[in-house]
Amino acid sequence: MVTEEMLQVFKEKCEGIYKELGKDMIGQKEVVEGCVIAMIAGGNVLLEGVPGVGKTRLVRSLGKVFDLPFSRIQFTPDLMPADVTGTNIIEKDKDGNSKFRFQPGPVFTNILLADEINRATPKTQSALLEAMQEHTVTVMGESYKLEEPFFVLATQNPIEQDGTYPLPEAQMDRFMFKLVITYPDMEELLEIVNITQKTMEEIAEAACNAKELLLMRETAKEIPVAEDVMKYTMKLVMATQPSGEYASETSAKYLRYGASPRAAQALITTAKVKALMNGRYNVSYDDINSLAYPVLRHRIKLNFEAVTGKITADKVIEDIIAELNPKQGGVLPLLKHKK
Amino acid sequence: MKDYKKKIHKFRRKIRLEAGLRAGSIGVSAGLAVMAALLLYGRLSYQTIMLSKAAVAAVVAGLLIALLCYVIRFRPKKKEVLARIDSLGLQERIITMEELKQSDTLIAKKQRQDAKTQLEKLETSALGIRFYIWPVVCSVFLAIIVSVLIFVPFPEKEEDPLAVQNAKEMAIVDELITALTETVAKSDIMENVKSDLQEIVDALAINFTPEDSTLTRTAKIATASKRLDMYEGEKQNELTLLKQQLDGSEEMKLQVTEATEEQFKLSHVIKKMKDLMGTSIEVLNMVEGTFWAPGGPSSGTSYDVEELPMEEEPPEGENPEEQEPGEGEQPLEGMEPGENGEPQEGMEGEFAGMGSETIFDPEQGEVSYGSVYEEYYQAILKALTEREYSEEIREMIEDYANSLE
Repeated sequence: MVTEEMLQVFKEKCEGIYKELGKDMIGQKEVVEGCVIAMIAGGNVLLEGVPGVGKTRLVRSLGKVFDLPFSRIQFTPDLMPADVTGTNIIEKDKDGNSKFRFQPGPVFTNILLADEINRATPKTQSALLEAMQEHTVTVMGESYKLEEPFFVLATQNPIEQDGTYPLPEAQMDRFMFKLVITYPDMEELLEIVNITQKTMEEIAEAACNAKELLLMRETAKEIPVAEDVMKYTMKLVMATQPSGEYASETSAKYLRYGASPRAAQALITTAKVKALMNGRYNVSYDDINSLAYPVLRHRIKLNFEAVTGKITADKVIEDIIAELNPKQGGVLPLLKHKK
Repeated sequence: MKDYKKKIHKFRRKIRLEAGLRAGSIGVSAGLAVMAALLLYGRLSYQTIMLSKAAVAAVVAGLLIALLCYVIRFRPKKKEVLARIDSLGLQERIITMEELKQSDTLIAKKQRQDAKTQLEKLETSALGIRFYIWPVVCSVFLAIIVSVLIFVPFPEKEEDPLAVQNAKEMAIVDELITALTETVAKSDIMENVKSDLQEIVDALAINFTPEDSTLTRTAKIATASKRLDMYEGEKQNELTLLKQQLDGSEEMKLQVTEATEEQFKLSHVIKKMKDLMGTSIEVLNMVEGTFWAPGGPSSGTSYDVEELPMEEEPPEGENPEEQEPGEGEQPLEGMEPGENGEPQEGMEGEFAGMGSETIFDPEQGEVSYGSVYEEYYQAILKALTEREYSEEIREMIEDYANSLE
């Protein structure tokens, strides 16, 4: 049951989080907001961007702001699953007997940065699947629970495609958001250089702890969703299915397959967080439409016609939203990737 | 806090007004379409459709369609009203508030509070009236069409002269049938004789077709006249046979007297009918532009369809006044004209002068136009006075008669 105190905590913590993150991250407001929403909602984030735009810095800042232990895995082609999850090692006890002891891997943390996740082999990538979805790790038949809250913030480089392994659809579906980090503009670049001349370290301070984060998550869950908004969300997700009952013209033309039910869950969950962050006590169409881009862009598969016609996933999503047209005023694409 | 309900009510009224205007615009469009259709139909079929009737039809159709549109399509439901208010920047606060109105949770209360606060900041003027443009465009377009149909004169229909002539001739034929039927009905002859005469009239009526030529129509009338003569002859023969059976008894004398009286009445009715037929033939010929024999069907001659019979000149040296009656025209026994042509005893009055009259001197071999015209003219005048003709026919006959002078 939500109390007045919980609402007040949510509001104050959100303000503090953005304030602190603003010290380390210049620009990228949509990406920062997306990460915060995903963390409050309890989801994982896939960050895509060219090298040097601040992906790692963002994740480290998030760790500091949320006062959560942070681990980083640099994915390489020779990385093994055990290097991620941990493994049993043999050690001798004081009596000299050999026994197995589980050595936790870097996944045993609260915030895991999986850097350049697309450079690891599919086998190693799959090692993260269980952790991302169920927050547990199974090694040699034994399951180990990960400490809550647990987030995976993975990064991938869109430029270097040689020697990379595209993430399998099953793993992609487990990321709540896919956020694209773009180059900063002139003013942002100037500010970045000015700040980093003083220090390269993150200067953000803790604005929230694990317990408060979980409390914020519970608070956001209580935000109501009107029946029409809920139906619209379902229609939006089902419209991405090219051969489904509610398939849109755009999806039929440009998609091989559409989003799964996880997308609908992610939309509603994150929309509630976004609504409350904006001081509203109900979810609106704008919330759904603006969050549709980070939620859906990695869950839909473009077909040959879209690829050859240079039609992006964001364009497809934009057209689907336009077809559904829930409002006369149009859409507010706050988290839409800008070309 | 109840102000928000008033505000919602204001918005609802405005949305209903919008719905009414939309329905009304479609109704206006529909009404103009009906009016244009009626006027166009009248133009194309060369019929006169009264502007007032078309306007009434347009108003009724427009009102009906507007009402149907409002009730079935545009009447705003509560949820639609709330969603429309939300579209003014309230971000679904109002519809959520409506769904949570029964909830007592803190979030529900906060949500209601937030929704009401935002609603009170909203002015009713923020809600614009959304209009469909296409009914307006259609209405303007249709109004132009209606104006053209009302004010721009259209060329008169070029009537087919043959069709006009045919219509006139059919009207003449219909009038003849009506007149013959009336004559038979009003006569005081015996019922069985009436039905016989009516059969002849009915047979003539069903014999006419719209495809008949003038010649065919006149021939059919003449044939029917001939049938009347034959019928009269048959009845006369029956009377003759009855008279032959006179045995001096009072009973028989009475029978003969009654039969003779019936025969007089029959002859009178048949003469009337033949006069009507003769006049109709003359009028048909006038309409068609041909000239018919002055004796007409009273002479008892039947006419072929294919060719017009020429007037037969009496053989040289013969006095047409002294000619024996033609076939089928045996004078009634006891009714033969006297040596000087005067009617028999008992044949005074209306049955007098039933013999034919001559208008030319056969010894000379020619006849003056003036005497022919005068007699013809008098026959026309007599026919016009004896029964009713429509104004159109009467004028046509009079014009024709005057043109011959």
